[in-house]
Amino acid sequence: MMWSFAWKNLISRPSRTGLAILGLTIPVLAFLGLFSISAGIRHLMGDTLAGMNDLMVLRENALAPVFSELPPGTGEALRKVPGLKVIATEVWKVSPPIDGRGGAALGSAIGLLTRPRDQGLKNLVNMIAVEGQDLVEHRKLKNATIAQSILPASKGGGRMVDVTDIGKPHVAISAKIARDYPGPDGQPKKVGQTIRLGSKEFTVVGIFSTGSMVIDGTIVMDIGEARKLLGVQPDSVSTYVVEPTDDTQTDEIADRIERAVPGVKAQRISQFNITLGAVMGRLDQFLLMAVGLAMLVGGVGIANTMLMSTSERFVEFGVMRTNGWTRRDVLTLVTTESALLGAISGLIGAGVAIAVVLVVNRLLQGFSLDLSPALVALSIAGALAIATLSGLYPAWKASRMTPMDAIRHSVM
Amino acid sequence: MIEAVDVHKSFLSGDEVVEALRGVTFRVPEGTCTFIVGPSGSGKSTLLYLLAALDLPTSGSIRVAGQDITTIPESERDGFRRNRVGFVYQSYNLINNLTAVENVLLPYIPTGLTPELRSKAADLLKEVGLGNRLNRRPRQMSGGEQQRVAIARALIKDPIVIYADEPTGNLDRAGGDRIVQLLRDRQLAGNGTLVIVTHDRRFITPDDLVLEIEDGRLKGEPSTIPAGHPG
Repeated sequence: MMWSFAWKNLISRPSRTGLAILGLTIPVLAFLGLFSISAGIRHLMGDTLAGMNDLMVLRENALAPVFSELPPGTGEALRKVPGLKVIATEVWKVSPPIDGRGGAALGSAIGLLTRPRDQGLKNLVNMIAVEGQDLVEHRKLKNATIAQSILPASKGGGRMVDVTDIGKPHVAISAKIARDYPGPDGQPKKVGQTIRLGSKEFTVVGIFSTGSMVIDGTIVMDIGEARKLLGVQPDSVSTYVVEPTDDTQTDEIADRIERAVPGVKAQRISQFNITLGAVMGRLDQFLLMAVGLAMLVGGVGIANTMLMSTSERFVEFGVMRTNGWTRRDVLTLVTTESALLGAISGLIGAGVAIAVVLVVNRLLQGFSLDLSPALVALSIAGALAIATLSGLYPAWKASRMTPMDAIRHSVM
Repeated sequence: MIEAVDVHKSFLSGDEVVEALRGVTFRVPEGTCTFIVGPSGSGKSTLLYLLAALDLPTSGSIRVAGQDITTIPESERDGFRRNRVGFVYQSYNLINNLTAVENVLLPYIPTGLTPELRSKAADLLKEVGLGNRLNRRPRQMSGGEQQRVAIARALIKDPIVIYADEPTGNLDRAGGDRIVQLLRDRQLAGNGTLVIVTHDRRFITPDDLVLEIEDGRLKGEPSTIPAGHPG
């Protein structure tokens, strides 16, 4: 009955209650929205990279291959490190404009910071990198994710670029790129059609789909062609993918490489998600601070609502005390009311967030917002806790009402 | 069964100390209807609040059914108000968000409502003539109906004493008569005690006890006025 009584007290002032709920629902929604994006990115990167067991050697402190530029001589130094079976050279850069459409290739980070949120998100999804591969060496790698993800012939997959493509303007593109940059007929690009990168035409020889936004944002070609296209030095190298002779020695080999070759880091490709995790962890801290502030404001709103509500009900509290309610009973009633506000805010916020995530995930391709049950539960629990804490002072104040307060106020 | 001994009550009004009661001593036997009368500001309502354990005297003692309600801890006073006495205000003081039957059940909301209590509340409302108003909110009822709900709220505890502070003050003459009669019939039938503060002496019958207060003191000695006092 206490819950029912508290509920009746709330709905008797619908406008005020509604506004208080809205004040806490918005931060809950923000919390779930922002963290579902963050978790989606983390999940995506983790899924993609976890499947890759080779080592990637790149410049120390480079967050990703597109930011890496290895000094000359690194390859020679690597070849002197014992225990390496394959050393495959790569060049990575953000792609120049594709089919004359610029902008998307300028990079997601700038876009995210300087454009409206929807445009920034679009850029994130649409970021495309050119990966130039030493095709001879790459053919020797056991874990060649893209080569293993070429669409079947029935779907027009074609083939992975190989040694026959060395020195030729041939590329393998993802099904997503094929869709985003359609052919003259408006249909997704097909094998045999061309794609213009910057001012140069390339023939599509293969179409792949890994299901990962990161890899599906890559155009793969011969390393020599990539260097010419990207305007880098003929000996420029971004990364090396190396495969140890003994898979069980990967970590030792990584240490060995880092000792032997100064200024580089060697890590399991699967461990990029750890690096990413550190970046995302800092992002999460920032998000938590921002949402925490919003939650605090929501909590202040609840406290204000409850203070107004209790100050209008001094007589009622006095009547309750006259009828044997203890101070604790009054405290429980008011706290229950604020807890209900929190629970409702949490549930509405979570419900709206789930609906939005479902809709957005239907619209986005290659990337999905990740709204875990734990995150939803945390947001509801957080809203409940903040609202309950916010209601404690008004509840304490109400509990100080005595039976005589009822009489004095009702006489006035 | 109610014994007040040398009860004083003073309080601050601005910078001035007001002595509302100046040594009141009396005894009210069980099963009687007692009226506390006197001019405005004489201290009669203050006395009622002290007898109902709503407030504490500055000095003196008050015993109800053998229990000194001035020395017991707050938690016991809460229990005393919940289980042993009923209180009826002049201005009804029902809770607007609760229905009539829920208002009657108000004392037991924190401790939990049983089907027996719900049934008892409904029966009480029927007894006071509100059988068809069980789920009405206070604002949907007349003043007389609200006061009858307040009486049912006091009665649900099967109290040893019902205290009523000017229960007819906001009602018309006929409505006031019905309320006092209802209190008499329902409370005195079970050998309970009824204490009413009123300005209106027409309710006093020869069998009633009258405590006349003037300027914080009982008027006349001894402090209890015999039955049959003309009022």
